[in-house]
Amino acid sequence: MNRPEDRPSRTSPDVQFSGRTPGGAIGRATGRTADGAVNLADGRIDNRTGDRIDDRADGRVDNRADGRIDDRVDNLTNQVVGDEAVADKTGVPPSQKAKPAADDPYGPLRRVTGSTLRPGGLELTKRALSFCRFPQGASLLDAGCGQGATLELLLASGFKAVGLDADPAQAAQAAQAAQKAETRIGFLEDLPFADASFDGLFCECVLNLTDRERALREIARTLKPGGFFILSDIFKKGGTLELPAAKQPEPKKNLLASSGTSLPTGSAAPSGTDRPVRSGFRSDGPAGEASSRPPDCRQGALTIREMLTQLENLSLVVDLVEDHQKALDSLAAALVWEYGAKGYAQLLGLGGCLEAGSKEKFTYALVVARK
Amino acid sequence: MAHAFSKAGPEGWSCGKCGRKLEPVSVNVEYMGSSFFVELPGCPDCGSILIDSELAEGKMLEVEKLLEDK
Repeated sequence: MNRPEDRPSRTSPDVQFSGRTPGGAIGRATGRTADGAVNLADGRIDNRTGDRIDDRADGRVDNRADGRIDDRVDNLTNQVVGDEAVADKTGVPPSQKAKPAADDPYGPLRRVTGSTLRPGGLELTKRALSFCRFPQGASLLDAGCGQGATLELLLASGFKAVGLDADPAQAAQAAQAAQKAETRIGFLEDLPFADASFDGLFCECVLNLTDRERALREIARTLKPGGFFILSDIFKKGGTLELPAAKQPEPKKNLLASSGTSLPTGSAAPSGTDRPVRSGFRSDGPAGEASSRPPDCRQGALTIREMLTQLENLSLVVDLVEDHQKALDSLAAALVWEYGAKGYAQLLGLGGCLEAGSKEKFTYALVVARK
Repeated sequence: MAHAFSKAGPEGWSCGKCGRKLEPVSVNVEYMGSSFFVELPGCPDCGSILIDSELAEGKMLEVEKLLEDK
């Protein structure tokens, strides 16, 4: 069950800005119930046909055989939070905002985003789940789980959830929030799991802070054949977005019946590297090793095209690419509303990607690739 | 505008149509395709939301500029 701060009120009226309002505009509430629908951006790609972004009327990207993306969204929503509206695409209603700990360096950001601490919140996670259609009991890793918001969602959706974070404090909070999930401390560049451990692996707003090539190799290693890699992150705008020649996806399988190792109930995930725990998403990376980690997510960002190339080099088939620029913009807007333009500028150190007016433009995207 | 809000003394604003004292309401604000939740005073009966000039010329204007620059 989601925590209250992850849910908007059932009757959240909408107000639309009507341009400049120097005289104090009065907006009329519509009383429309927030439906929690994912705000799908316009720029999506279809890897079945190789269509360029925006070439199709609906802009959808779907590389699966039957092409159904949205048919389970409503079911999933009901499954997770009953008939309650799901989290909005930007943050949480003020009355349900989290009260971060005083010593939480991300407290100001968390106050607006809730526990997810990323653009799009849990909406993009739900979107990916509806696309991948994992069977009940599927083993899913959230690499960079933070305080465990995604883990809670995965558990509530009937999956076997495993969380990994390099920060012991974050991992401990995740373990508390999602008590039925297994949580580990470790680095994405050195995943403490055996080959072919997971049916799916989430990496939400984390990959840009890692030594990406190493992390991607580890992700590919620990996925089962047919398993999905779900990536949401900041990307540089620019470059062409057309996908390579489409590969025919294999028929849908029961992922649990495919090869790979199942996690024994109530025990630790299989570990190929039973090494001591190391702490922190530090810039130096895994202990004793030189790291090429970028200092922040902005500097670590690729274009979507560059990312797709890296995935293809690991023989991962890209099934879904969605641009969610609006999620990024909405978060920036919510932060300005909360803290003012000056306060927002001071927050940029926590999320340089949010900066407006910079020479380099960024977007936020959801990418799903299959092993 | 016939339907307006009126200031009812030290207790703050009330709805000109319903006469109800405004209460904090969770509102989904949208502009240029972006949206986010905020809390604003609203009428519990008719659902009208008050955006006063300080808000309109302050943070709302800042948000508009931010989104227009993106």
